[in-house]
Amino acid sequence: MTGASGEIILVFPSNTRILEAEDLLEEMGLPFILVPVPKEVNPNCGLAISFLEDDRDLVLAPLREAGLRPQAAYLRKGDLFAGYDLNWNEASGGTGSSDAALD
Amino acid sequence: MIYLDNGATSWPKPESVVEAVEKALRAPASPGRSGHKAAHAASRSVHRARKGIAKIFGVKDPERVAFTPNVTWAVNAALWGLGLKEGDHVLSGALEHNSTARPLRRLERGRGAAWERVDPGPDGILDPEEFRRRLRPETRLVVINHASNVTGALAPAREIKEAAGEVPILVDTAQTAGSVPLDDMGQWADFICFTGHKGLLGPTGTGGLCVKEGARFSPLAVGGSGSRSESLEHPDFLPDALEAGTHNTHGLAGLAAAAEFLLETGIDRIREHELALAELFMAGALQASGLRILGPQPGDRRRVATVSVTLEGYSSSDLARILEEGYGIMTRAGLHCAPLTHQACGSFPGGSVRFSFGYFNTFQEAEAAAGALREIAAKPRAAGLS
Repeated sequence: MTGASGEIILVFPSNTRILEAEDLLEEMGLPFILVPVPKEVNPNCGLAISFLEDDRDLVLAPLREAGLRPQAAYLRKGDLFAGYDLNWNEASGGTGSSDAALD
Repeated sequence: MIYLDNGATSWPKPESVVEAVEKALRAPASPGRSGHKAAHAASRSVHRARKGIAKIFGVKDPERVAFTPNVTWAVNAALWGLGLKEGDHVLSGALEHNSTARPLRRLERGRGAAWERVDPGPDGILDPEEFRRRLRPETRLVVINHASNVTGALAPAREIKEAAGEVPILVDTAQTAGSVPLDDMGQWADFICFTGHKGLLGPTGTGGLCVKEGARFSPLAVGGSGSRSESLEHPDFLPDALEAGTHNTHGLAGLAAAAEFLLETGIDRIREHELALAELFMAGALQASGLRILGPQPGDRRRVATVSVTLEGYSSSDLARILEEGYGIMTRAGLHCAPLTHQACGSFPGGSVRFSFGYFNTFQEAEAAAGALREIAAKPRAAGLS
């Protein structure tokens, strides 16, 4: 999966949110896999969504539409990780509603 | 055996629920923690339950469904989490179960929050206008038992919320979820508390709390969540904020299957069947001399299929014992953890015998229960049981 174009890894704030994202991408038949959150860059437990950089627009569009905003995104090339700017546009729709509901 | 104690816990469970629990017990998994396939399968199973529950309550975002061990825990999470204190006022119905009444009592005694109860009318039903009249500027919460676990009276919860305006409402759906269509409740109720093992037909040890957008409160318990592991602060987002510690994965696998069973069967269909059972039972039971039905009477659809009766000359415990020993009918006698309701109905402290019907009960069983009551009432009452 870590080809020349690189692999984008999306980390979500909660396990529930990643399951929502997985359901959505799976329903649409989009090319992605689940991978353990890379501990090199992020301390979260659980899983992250991974896909080829070439498929970026295809995969991100429905997530944006549903308001399923990742907490962090990384570009992996081999063993190298870099933060990745998703240019997330909140105005494009969705509620992103896993809000800080609690005091 | 005729099981008429579905208000305590539903029986039988759908076969798919039994199979799902067994399958989960045989799988090696803790949801939302590790990244391997088995852990992910467990996460998916919990998520299925979350989505099913969200659909049943009309909660748009499954993230707003948090699982707890039972409805009592869910009620406590909301009530204590709101930080009610001296000067605050809470309005509830007088048909509350101890799951809400006891925490409210403790908030009253320990924190000095004022708790005021609204009695039902002569028909056994709460009046939304009475709630409107009792609202105060300092009212912080309205608490409603959606259906009485004693009389089966259905509360006009949505109308009460309309009367309460901006004041948040907590609805205890222990006796309605799965038995009454509630797919609009997520749009207007601030806190929906539910249990998985009654009308929802799932295993015990499952329940939860649906939280509407904008509600703010503190978690009752904090700890491991599988998220934000680097921080000593508990996550402040749902559902993790309310789900400290490992889930009841096995129970929730059963609840997921139960939710799917309910949605496939149709809760409106379940409601009609259960109401028809209650109507048949009440019509037959009322022919027994000296029998009184508490709360809504036959023909009144503002109820669930839980019917409490008293029979002249019999204590509730003796009557339940005769029903079981003589007729194989399982009911529940006494105060049903709801002393306030029995006080409101004039049946305190002796209580009543409760017949609570479920989707899997038959018309023959309802008729047999009514027939047993007629036969018991017609017999001369000997001293002691025979």
